Amino acid sequence: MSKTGKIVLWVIVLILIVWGIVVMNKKGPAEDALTIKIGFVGPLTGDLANMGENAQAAVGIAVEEINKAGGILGKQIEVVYEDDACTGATGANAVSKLINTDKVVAILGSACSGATLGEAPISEAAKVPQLSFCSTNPTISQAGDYIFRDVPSDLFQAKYAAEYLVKNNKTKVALLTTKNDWGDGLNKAFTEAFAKAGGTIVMTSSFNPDAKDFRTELVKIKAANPDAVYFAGYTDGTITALKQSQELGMTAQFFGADAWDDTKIWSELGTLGNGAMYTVVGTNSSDAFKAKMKAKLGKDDLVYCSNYAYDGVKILAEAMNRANSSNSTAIKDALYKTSYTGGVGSKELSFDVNGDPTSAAYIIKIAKDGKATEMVQ
Amino acid sequence: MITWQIFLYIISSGMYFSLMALGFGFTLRSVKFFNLAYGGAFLVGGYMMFFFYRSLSIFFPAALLFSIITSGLYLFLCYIFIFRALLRRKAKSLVLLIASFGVLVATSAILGMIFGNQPTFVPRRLSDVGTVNILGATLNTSEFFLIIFAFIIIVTFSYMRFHTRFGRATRAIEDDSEVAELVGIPKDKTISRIFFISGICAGLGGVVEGLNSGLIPASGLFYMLPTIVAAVVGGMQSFWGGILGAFILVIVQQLTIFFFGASWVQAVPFAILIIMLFVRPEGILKR
Repeated sequence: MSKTGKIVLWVIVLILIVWGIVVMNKKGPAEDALTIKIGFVGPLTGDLANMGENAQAAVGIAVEEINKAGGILGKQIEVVYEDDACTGATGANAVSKLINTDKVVAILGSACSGATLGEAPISEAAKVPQLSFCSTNPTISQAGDYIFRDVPSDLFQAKYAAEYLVKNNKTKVALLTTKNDWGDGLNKAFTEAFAKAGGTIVMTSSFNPDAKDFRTELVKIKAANPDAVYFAGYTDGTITALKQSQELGMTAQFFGADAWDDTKIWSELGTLGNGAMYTVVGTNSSDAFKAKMKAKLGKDDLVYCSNYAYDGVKILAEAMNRANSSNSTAIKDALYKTSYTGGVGSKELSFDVNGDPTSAAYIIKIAKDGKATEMVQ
Repeated sequence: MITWQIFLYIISSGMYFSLMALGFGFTLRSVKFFNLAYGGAFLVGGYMMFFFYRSLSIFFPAALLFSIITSGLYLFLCYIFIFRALLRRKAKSLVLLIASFGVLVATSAILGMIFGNQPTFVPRRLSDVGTVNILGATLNTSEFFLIIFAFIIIVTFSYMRFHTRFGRATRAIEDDSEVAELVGIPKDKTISRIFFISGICAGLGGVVEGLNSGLIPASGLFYMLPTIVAAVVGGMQSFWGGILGAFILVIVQQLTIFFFGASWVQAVPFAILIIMLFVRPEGILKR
């Protein structure tokens, strides 16, 4: 390259660097902007893409409703959607981008516990409130002052499951959990809760999230002859494992947790999933909400996280109205004082000192012929 | 009882990886590079099966035939348009490896765009894949038929290799491709055919996986690791090496799961590969 060419190139590089520094240094979200920007981060690709897209639709509906009613503080809300592929690493990048580039005032996310735990330190450091609509790992309670969630911690879910199993005479249980934050959290919580409830764990096993072959593990579990298998797995693993367990002719009760609310699992398994049960946080869906979701998605598909995502948007809006400001720290303070009623997630919601909901109401769902429905107890 | 069930799993997984390693070994021995586009043929075979059987509702055996022909064509076309051009420029095997990796990544991405990133299952309903009871233990029908088909394929290919002209040509090219050309063996034609049959093996593997556990675009690379380990451990230069390597891999994996738990499954192929490379890099079987 000629000498002049090189000089021109370096000048361009220098200009780009200087411009970059100037843009990066514009501090804080522009509070006098025309719209209020909220960030959404969720698993739009990957194992839980169905859940992520479902939640994205719910958020869209909530935002439309708020904007139609005049927005917040006189401004319209704008949501910036980012994908975290259910991993902490991708989530951290997504949240960084939302905070630094899009200058969002609050973040709604994530669904996967692993993703939320990866994102929380960044939101906390940037002093941007983050409200998770589906992450249940117990350690999120200690993730930071700016970290909230409108779904309860798995300590409660595991306890509820343990007590249900013991009450129904399933006292010998084999544990099969996926190796990620959600699965590990449930493994630990269930082990403690089940022992306290008086049951015995005959076998514990964990598997990689992308494992496809559970056959040998299932053979071992079948040989240990448990009454039930507490199986904490995400969509892909659950479909394969339940199918393989049916092939083996296993009669133990398969019992799962909230991630089993992904409708894709039961629609893929069909009759192979019959009889599987799982705990999930109850929802308070209104017919209007269900109709809007059906219209937006084009099909009858509602995963519980979406109800909580919808509520999450409304809760953030209420906090902003209460604080009468879109300043992130003001929103955070207002969230602690917010009491939200009439949501489609929980009937009423307020946050405790850790940013967790103060109450937890679980239901048990049972799968039959491609659908999971609430079991009347 | 458990032992018999695990034994059946070893047989079915072993035959599966033998098939994969066999097809992979063809291109490894003749063109002397690790063809990662083999993973692409795997995906193409599986997704095409979904396309033919589910989207177009073609009769199952016909759909199967079309899928494996498509995957064979896929590798054949890769050779014609990509690898042959590189070989003509005297590209080193590292360059071919990188090119094949590029092909795999591009293929995965395109298939991901068309079929989505969530698992794609080939059977219409998962309960369609029935089970076969063998003396008290069960295998699902696709695993059962795989054992039979893989066995037939291995026998066919070994016959082809040792008793046909084409087989002799492949062996000559594996030995020394320049001399083979001098002696009058149609190198280009033979290698294109080798890529085609290599693609068939990968495609069949993809179909089986689509029936059993569903496919995601990332599966291509995921299944290349055990395939490569099986081929290398068994002996890169030997026809039977891939089969031996596959069974060693599967046996060690199943024993590890049985005694230590599923968490260690991912480490097993790596561990075997590293030990083998230290002890005997050329693999167990020489020829």
